[in-house]
Amino acid sequence: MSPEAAAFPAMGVEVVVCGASDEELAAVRRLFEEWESVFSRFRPESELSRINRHPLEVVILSRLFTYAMRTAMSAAAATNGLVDPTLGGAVEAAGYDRDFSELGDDERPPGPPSHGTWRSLRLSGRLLSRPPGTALDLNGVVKSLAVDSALELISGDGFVSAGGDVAVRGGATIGLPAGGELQLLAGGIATSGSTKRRWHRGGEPQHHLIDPRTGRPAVSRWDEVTVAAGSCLAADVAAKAAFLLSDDGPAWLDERGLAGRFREGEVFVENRAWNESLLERVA
Amino acid sequence: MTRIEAARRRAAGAKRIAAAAAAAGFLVTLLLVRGTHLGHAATASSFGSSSIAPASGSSSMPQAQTSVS
Repeated sequence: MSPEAAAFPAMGVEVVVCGASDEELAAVRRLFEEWESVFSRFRPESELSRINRHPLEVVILSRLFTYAMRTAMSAAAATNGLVDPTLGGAVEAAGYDRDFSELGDDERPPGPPSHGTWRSLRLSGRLLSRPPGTALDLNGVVKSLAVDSALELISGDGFVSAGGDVAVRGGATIGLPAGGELQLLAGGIATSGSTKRRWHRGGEPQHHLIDPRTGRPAVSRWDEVTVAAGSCLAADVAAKAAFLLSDDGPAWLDERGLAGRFREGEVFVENRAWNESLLERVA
Repeated sequence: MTRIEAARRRAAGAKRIAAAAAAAGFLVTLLLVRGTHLGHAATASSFGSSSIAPASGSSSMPQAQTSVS
């Protein structure tokens, strides 16, 4: 961590802020506290929990929830549904139904799979319509969106990182998973994978990255995928999609001009955009 | 005032209240539908492009870490 950086816990991860004044740091802390109180799946009083319990098909969202909901639907459209905000039921069925620090192995089998249904959502202003029984989970975008929003609260150069999802202004040296580093001059970088939030249910390994096509924890060739993009949100969404696409992940990123590094055990695979970005800078 | 006139007045008053309530409800719905601007909305549909470069040992840039969380 940089000497001038400050850190605090939020959203189940460590948030690191660099380049903020005391007032800006306080504002960043408030932002993460507010967002966690709104979007937590594990707080019964959160807006997310209340919406998921709400018996009516149409609900009125707060402005912040609307913002995140619209972003989540945009991410779903951009990834052809790979990053889907309707997988709350699936992740609970896999056993992730409490804070990860409280999660242990469970002898009970996983619940039934629950496929992504984001196309059935209708958002009109602050009115959200969703089929009965839909369980939203916006964690596919909320953390990285909060990182981008937090960086906007800092007037000068610096970075904000939450659990390894990073947004940078003015440049930072970024340590990469399993070694290596690069300079990120602007934008965001994020890593997604199944190596950390893992547990067993009914003797079967589970993790938190649900494949909306199967409604189950994704099966991927990759352990981790790191992506750099124009924002932390874009990097995070692209990293999740590339992980889920398995063999097709590197080419999917190249089609979008995004640099990605994939780890499979001890083997690293960089896509064309990653190599070209770094080589162009050297030349 | 006869009882019929009084009943008509009450009915007319109730109509006005119902019309006002409907108009207010419509207005609230309109505001909910339209009043959602939150500055620039983030989007992942255009992923943008980052600017990455090889790490330099002599860089004075701050140090961060990306990892699976």
